[in-house]
Amino acid sequence: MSLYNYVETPNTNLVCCICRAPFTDPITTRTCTHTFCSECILRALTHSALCPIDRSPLSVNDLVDASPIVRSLVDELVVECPHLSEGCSHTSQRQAMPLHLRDECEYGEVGCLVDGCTEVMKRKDIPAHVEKAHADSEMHSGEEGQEEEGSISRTESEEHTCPHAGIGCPYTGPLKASEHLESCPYESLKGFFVMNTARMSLLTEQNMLLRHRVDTLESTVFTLRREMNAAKNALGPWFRSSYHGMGGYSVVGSEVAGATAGPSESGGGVDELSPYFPSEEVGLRHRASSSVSEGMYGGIVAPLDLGTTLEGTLVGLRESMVGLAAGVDSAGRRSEIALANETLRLGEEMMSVRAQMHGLRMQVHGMMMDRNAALREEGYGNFGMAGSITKL
Amino acid sequence: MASISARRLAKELREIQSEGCPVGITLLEANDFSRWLFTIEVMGESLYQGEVYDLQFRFDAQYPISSPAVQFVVTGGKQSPIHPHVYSNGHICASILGNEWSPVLSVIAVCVTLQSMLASCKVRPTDNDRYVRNAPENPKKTLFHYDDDT
Ligand SMILES: [Zn+2]
Ligand SMILES: [Zn+2]
Ligand SMILES: [Zn+2]
Ligand SMILES: [Zn+2]
Ligand SMILES: [Zn+2]
Repeated sequence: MSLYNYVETPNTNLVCCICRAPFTDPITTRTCTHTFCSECILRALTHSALCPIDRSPLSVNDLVDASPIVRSLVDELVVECPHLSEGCSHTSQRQAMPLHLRDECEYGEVGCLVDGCTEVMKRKDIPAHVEKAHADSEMHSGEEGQEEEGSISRTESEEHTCPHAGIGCPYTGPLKASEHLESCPYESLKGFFVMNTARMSLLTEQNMLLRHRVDTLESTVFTLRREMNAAKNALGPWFRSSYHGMGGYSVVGSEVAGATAGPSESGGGVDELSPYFPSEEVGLRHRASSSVSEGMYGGIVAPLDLGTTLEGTLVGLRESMVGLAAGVDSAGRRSEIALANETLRLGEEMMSVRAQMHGLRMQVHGMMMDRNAALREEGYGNFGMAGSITKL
Repeated sequence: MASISARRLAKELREIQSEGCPVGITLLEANDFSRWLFTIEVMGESLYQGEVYDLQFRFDAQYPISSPAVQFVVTGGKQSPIHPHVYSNGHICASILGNEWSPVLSVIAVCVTLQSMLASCKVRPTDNDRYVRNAPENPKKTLFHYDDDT
């Protein structure tokens, strides 16, 4: 986002609708051809992967540099010097303003030009600073400082200051710098200060980098938190943060506790299949075995153990599936054997019934023969009829 | 250096001061870039005619990338409007303050949307008591379920 104030109200077509300022480093979306500042749209994308204007899906890969025309239009907008409030009324095209701040602006921050001095101050303060802090070393270190600034007039006063005034030596007095330096406590620490300054600037630089990283990480954390929430919602009661421990969920936890307490009281042998269930840890168990807890919780017992993670529960479910499959298998085999046995037994019974039947028929035949013989003795009538009876 | 949110809010404030607020909305207080107060009144024939509510905006450093925290003021004798999407503690269940927020929207755009939302039936949300009992202080911390298109 631009930090400049614009002299004229910019054309609304050149204004980023996120920061409401003319585009800085404009970027256009390839998908919907909307233009934003690169910083604005990148920040918006970490928050939500949609175009802020039309809410169409958008990713970093859809961003391309805006057309050169747009770039030059915003680069040529006239801006005020940021130091207007302090007194600089300079205006220039936006692209030229950094140069003004670096090379011209009286209020721009610049480093002291004297060798070995690391102080940073406003440009207009340099002459006063050079005069105050470098009055003596100037004689030795040539006239560069004076040429550069052009307006330094050396005072001929008897008051000398220490070359180390910049790092804290309070000395002012009649001794020339070279004479004072012999007793100056800062002189012996010179090396330390140089080292320290270097280290300081290194740290400042690192600090900047770290701050940038913190910003990035913060936005990452934000995204992660959002995704975490979505995942949490999707998982529902299956979600448990690690520090909750067992039974952390009041409602579900108590139900599970009741369910695990149940079966030990009702005892085994109720259900033939129960040995196939990996019992306590997995928790998928027959209703009948948890009748105690049913009584306590109105019959609504979670059939699954919510005490483990979703993955644990899935593993448990799979184990009980395998158990069930084995159970079904063995039951099938057993009934097959039983069926074969039964068929065999029935066959035998059938044979014996058939034999008895045969015996009975023989007896009946014998009885008929006797009767026929008796009839024949009575007389020779009714032949046909007797014949038909024997055929019985 | 002013933060991005402060610069954007300064622009919005300048716009409000130069162009004024839409009818029925007035800026009550904007002393800094963290909390603004508006009054909001439903115009025309409606159940809310003549009733004026105070609307509070709170901004974090991520504004306008992240949405402002918006709620009706319910302290100092003020009350929140009775509406199916407004809880008695002032929290508002509106998707543009949550998942449909866009950095393109502005404070005034939110005010106008809420003003038009109010012009419907006059009852509390069905889960009002349960929500108000457990609600966080900042309405942005609530994951509202936006059940319809308002
Ligand atoms: Zn777009
Ligand atoms: Zn922008
Ligand atoms: Zn300047
Ligand atoms: Zn210096
Ligand atoms: Zn000294």
